[in-house]
Amino acid sequence: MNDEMIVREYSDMIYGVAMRYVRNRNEAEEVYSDVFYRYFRRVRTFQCEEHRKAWLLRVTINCSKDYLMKRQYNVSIDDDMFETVDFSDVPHKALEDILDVRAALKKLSDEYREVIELYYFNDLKVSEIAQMLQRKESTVKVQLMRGREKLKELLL
Amino acid sequence: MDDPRLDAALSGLSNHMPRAPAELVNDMAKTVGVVETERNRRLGVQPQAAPERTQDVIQKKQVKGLGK
Repeated sequence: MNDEMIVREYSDMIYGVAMRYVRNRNEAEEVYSDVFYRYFRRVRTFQCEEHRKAWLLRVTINCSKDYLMKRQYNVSIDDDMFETVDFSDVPHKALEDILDVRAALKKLSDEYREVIELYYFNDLKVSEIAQMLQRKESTVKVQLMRGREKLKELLL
Repeated sequence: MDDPRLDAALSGLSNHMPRAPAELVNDMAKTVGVVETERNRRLGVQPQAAPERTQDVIQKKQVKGLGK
């Protein structure tokens, strides 16, 4: 894969994970540029594509957390990643459920919300989340299961 | 909410995940493309020829076969 292909392959992943943490488009764009700057400032070789992906995920989360630490008080933060998303293409019946789940997610503790969002919205595997958050896979699986249960309770 | 409805709602949200803006991606792709070309030029790396497509190989073999 050449450099341009790497950018095209991982752009949505890096931007999506950054949005999940910083919840602000401008800062997500800055994290995105920062991650690729760190990646391309030296020639990197990886044993396989999974290792490259894991490296990019780890750096994305580190950069996002750096931005959260440095954040100025005047930055506007969206309540969730979908604050500015247009759902007009979704049928009315399905939209009700989507909005209910979206509202319930905001009430979920961050421990569960984080793994649920990374798994379902950022489309990451349990092993990738575990590596990224430096947790055991079994811990992530339990958090996912409990998070789902809590979400269902909130939706009763 | 039962499991199938929860899954459908999560999937609906997933389908509406914010994507990296096209302009941002194109700018980054262009930048790294230029840097890569420059690096290869400095290191004397020849640009790789596009790999032969499978269909082209099959067609060549078929043409060869017909000639015999």
